[in-house]
Formats: sequence, C-alpha cells, structure tokens
Amino acid sequence: MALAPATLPGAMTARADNTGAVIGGVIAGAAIGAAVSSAINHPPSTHSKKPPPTPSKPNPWADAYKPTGGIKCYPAQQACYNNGGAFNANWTHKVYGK
Amino acid sequence: MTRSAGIMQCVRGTMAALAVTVMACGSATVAVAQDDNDRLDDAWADLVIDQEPILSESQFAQLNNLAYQAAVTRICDGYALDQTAFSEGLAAAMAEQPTEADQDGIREWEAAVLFRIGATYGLFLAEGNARPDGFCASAAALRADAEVPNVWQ
Repeated sequence: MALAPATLPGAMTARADNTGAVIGGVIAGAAIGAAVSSAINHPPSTHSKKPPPTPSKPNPWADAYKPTGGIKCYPAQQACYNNGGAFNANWTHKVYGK
Repeated sequence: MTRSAGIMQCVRGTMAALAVTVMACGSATVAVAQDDNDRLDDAWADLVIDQEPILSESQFAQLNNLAYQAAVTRICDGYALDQTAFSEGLAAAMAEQPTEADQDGIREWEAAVLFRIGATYGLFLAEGNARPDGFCASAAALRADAEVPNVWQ
C-alpha cells in the first residue's frame, strides 16, 4: 500500500497532459513522410554495390574415400557407410577401430 | 559397483537424455541426408567437425560401433544388448585416458566421452528410424561377421 500513493501522481499527470504525446506523434509522422518523399524523389543509384556473396562452407567430408567397392568411409567421423545405404560397423571396425 | 558398471549406469542416463534431443534434431535433418547413403550428413557435421581430439581415431570408431549397436536394439527385431559386453567395450574404448589430466580433468574427459556416445546414439536412432531396412540389414551383417566383435546377446 505504501507504493500506491507514489505512483498515482505520475499516472494522473500522464492522463491529464497528453499534449506532448500528440505533438510528438505529429512530428514523427512528418519526419517519416519526409523520408518517404525523399526516397521517392531520388532515383535508385545505378552504381549500388551488390552485397558480397556469403562464403560457402568448406565441405567437411571432402576427404571421404572408398576402401573397397560399395563402401564409403569418412575420416572426420571415423565411420563407414554402405553406398546408398546404412552405417557399416564391419568396415568401421576394420578401417578405424583396430 | 565396479567402474565399468558405474560408467554403464551413467551412460544409460546420458544416452537417454541426449537421444531425445538428437532425435528431435535428427528428424528435422532427415531431409538433408545426401543421396550417396543414409547418413545424416549435416547432423554428423554438427557433431564431429571441430570436435576436440579427446579420443584417438580408434576410440572414436569404437564409440561409433557401440552406439550403433545400442541403437539397433531399439529399432531392429531380435537384438538385445549384452550389458556386460557393452560395459567392457565402453571401458576398453575409454581405457586410454589423458595422461596429463588431474582427477577433475579426468572427470571432465569422461563426461565429454559420455556426451559424445550419447549424441552418437541419438544420431543412429535417427538414421535407423528413417531407413530401418538398410539399418537392420547392416546389423545382420555385423552379427554374421565373426572377425568383428559385437555386444549383443
């Protein structure tokens, strides 16, 4: 309850005097209107620079190799897979696990 | 409780928690698996690229095979983990520890390894659920190969 009186005067003031807010809104509207007008009246520059292309990520699997037909191994993962298929535990063990 | 049994207990909790997270990620990345195989390339890249070398190449491969076999038991019919063999396999994969770490350093390292196997398990769950036929055929090939150890019953 001790806090209520302290907050009331501010709230009353805000309700009683919103002139500043109205003027602020008008000024803000004028500024936005000017900015839009300025943009319309200025043709886009023909020399605008394109943003630089995003550098492509290096392929983390570039060192993959085939120890035998039908098997592909990935050193970064220490794992081998069947071509067109699933994880191959046999070749993973043979190539990396020993 | 033996050290390997303690590790196994910790792994179960870690793997279960991580699997939920990675499954959610994995299901979103199924579409980006490249045509050359069923691997979730982008998800794997997020996991392994820039991975600190906390393990040797051989140790990482052993974790891969353990995580794969654990995932197989969830997806393919007729497979169950041999808990003792799994624990021993994990203990073997973790036998080579950092030599210059103190006790706290070893604990951090163990946590990092368990995190890695849990995340790997989740990725294999995602791959296996996306394409179970090939995933389970590969499991059958592993079980049939006497030269490669497995941790199934």
